[in-house]
Amino acid sequence: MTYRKCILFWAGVCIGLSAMAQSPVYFTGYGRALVGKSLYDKKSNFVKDDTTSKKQSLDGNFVFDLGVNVKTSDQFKANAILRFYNAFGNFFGSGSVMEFRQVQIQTVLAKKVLFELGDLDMGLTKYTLYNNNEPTSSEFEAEPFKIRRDIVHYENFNNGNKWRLQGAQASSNINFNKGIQKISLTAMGARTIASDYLTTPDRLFFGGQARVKQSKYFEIGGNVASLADIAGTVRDTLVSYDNTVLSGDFKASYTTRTLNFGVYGETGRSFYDFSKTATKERVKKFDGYMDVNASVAHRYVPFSFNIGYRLVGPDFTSPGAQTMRVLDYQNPILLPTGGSPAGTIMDRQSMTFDRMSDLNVYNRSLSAVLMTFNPVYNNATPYGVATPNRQGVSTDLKYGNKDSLVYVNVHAELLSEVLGVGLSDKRRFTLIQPGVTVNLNQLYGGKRMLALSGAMRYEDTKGSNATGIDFTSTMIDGSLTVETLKGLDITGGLKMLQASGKELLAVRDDFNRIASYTLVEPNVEQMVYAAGIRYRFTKYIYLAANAFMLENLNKSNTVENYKMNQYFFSYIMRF
Amino acid sequence: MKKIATIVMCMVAGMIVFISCKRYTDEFYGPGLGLAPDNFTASALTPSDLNPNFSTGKMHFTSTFNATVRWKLTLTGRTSGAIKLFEGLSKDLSVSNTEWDGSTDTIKLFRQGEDVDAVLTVLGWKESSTATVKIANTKSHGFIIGSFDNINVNNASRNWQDPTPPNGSGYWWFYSFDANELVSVDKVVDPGAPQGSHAIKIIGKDVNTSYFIGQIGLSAPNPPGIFNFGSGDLSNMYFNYYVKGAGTEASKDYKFVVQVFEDDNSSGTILYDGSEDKYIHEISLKYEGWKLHTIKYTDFVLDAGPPAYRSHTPSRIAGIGFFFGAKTSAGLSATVPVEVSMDYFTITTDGPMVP
Repeated sequence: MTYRKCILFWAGVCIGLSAMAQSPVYFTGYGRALVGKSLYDKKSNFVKDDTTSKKQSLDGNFVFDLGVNVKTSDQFKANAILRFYNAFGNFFGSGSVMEFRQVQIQTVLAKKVLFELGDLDMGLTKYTLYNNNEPTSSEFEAEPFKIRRDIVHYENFNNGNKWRLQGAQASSNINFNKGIQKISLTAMGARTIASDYLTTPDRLFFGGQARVKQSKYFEIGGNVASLADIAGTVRDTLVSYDNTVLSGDFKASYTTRTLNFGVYGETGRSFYDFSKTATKERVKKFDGYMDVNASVAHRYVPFSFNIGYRLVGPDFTSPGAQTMRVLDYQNPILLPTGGSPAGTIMDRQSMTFDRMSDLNVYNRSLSAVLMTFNPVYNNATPYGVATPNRQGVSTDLKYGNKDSLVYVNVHAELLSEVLGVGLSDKRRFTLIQPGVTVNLNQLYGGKRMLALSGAMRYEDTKGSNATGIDFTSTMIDGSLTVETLKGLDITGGLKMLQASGKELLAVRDDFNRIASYTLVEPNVEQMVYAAGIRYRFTKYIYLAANAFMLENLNKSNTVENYKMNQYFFSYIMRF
Repeated sequence: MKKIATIVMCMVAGMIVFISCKRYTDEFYGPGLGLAPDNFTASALTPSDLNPNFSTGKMHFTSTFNATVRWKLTLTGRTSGAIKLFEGLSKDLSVSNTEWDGSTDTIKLFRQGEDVDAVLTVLGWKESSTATVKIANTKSHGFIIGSFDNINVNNASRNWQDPTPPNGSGYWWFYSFDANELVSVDKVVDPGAPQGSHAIKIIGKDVNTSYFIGQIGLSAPNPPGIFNFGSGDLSNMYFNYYVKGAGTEASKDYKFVVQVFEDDNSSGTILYDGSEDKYIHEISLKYEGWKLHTIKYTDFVLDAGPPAYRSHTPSRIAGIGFFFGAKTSAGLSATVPVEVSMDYFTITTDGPMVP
């Protein structure tokens, strides 16, 4: 009954607002129908002796998000997204769920300040508020993988590198005729978690940015990002967090007849103050970072090169920029258990495929302490560029663009620790990430897409001889897209990950201090092959059928080895 | 444009200065692993005294490292095989973490005059550092009742004396009801003996099922007929002795009892007629090998004594006996001899013996 009342209410609102001449209402939407069948290879070690876990599943869902947008005037705009969800197999109406997915209100105050309230995407700089990309994703990965990842990103509100937070944001631009061009001001606030008055505090985020654009050649900015618990909203036995990051950045550029030169820099400090009333324990620390980059780009040839140096202190703390998008050790939902020969039920560990397809392994809230990461996926920069205790050089080289005959993007980092962890010897990290796309159809002037892509992510960690830390991971992406008839694509791809070696992971306490270490020695190989067909009705509407073949090899514990296939049908539309 | 270039340069310089305000001077971040870094160095291991006299003093070792590491200093007596171990997580060895009073961590005690090899090892360091000291005098362990290295056992006279009597102790004696029961009481060479190279061994069998096999003892010199344990706190008196269990199936049915006789009436002699207090402490011999037993005198139980006394009176101790027999009063008609050994019997008045 509730959802019927809700429909009637919204219908009434829409009709009412449509009738108002000065209050146009328009609709946006997202519709999706998914059906997937997944099954283990029954000979897999992980399931061959298991008699209780399910070996295959058939599930799917139908989702329709109706966006109702109301623009009563230039000063006011509001939107709400109403979600209709029905799990595959439930008769419409009996197993349906209807809920609000998003509510936003915008207004312009005094014709100068844009004020937004509700579910907002918030972001500042890479060191203050930034939602880092999942490390196994790649702009060169195959279309079947992108389809899966796009769904998860949509569900998790991963719009670019911003965090979806519930709060308010105000921004304003002040233009000048002389001296400087523009001053931009942004302020934001959000409640990141709500208290249960037992173990979860009320936690608020406040941030802001002030930018001064002197000309197209020079610009400076200041940023603040603060995350703090409200005192008294949690038991005295738990840690109360308070962390503030202050930063400043600048951009400068210079243009010659053929080249664009640029310099970008950012530096800042974090101040954290964690306390536990019950034990009268209080930990206060501050630390900083600096990041300087120089770039050169050709004005007419699509070529650019960037080189940078950064130093991020060991105690630099910035929850807004260091929170991981994916929970590395979260168990997936898809066929989640198997059995060992001894007859015990084991959880399936997530693999690269889950990281592109399972919403359950995705994180949506800012973490006040550094989260535990799995070095298999990212050991050099698990918390993005703001990963603490790193210093070194990074470079980016780009040629072409995604529509040109050849597009190349090479990213590399040579990093080391600022301070050795646990001993004076510092770890050294090498990260090389090349990728290339060749649009073969351009060789013969074909209008239909024929694209081949390949990418790699190689990471190597070396520690001291005493610890024996030596860890390497390699991920390879391959992709082929062939447009056979107009709008009809045959797609294929693979993603392989191999990681092995020895690493000593830090275990942190609730004060974000290293409490102990855990020795890990993974030796894994993960393979995902995909093939599919997609028909694009328009740019925003397509129908796709894909098959995924997964293989997980854990050479340290062969009980975890399995093969799995998934057949996945999706129909997605946006309007 | 020049202005902007100047500003950019100033910005970069400012950033460097800004970040430089925080100096990363700590040796490392997080709890120390204690591992030696690849460039680890340690200065020579140096003893503070090459000929330590532990009866009057202590010594220590020094060495300095270029990193905070988890180290282990092992001191091994070349003759005794006694081992003393120091461990730590620090940047150097000093008096605070390697002070040695001549004590041991093993059942073996260090010996006078022996060379002790000191070996320093560091976690993750392939090398080691060594030094040697010679013990001028061992640690004092209190009033020595018997060390049994120099004692002259005379089975014929049933009385024998330590030629270097500890603190003027009197004569040792041994006793058995039946001549066939007590096979032998002798000073034997025992490589495992905690102190020195010899121990006293009693071998016998309960031939007449009387539960009694044999008994040895020490009487205080006469006069005054009582032991002088010095000026320590007699209320905190401990009896410390090493006893070796045979660990055989037969030995588990036998016991070793320490008996203390008090001259409560100050007669100058021990009366075994129950007119004075006798206290005992019993240990089972079912274990194998040497073991240190440390018992507070007040924990000894009264075995016999008239109502007039019945109180532990350390200042009136006149004799100490060591009884070896069956656990059950009915005795055991064993035909296979059983044995027990004892070494280094001391009495301390400042708490239990620290070996």
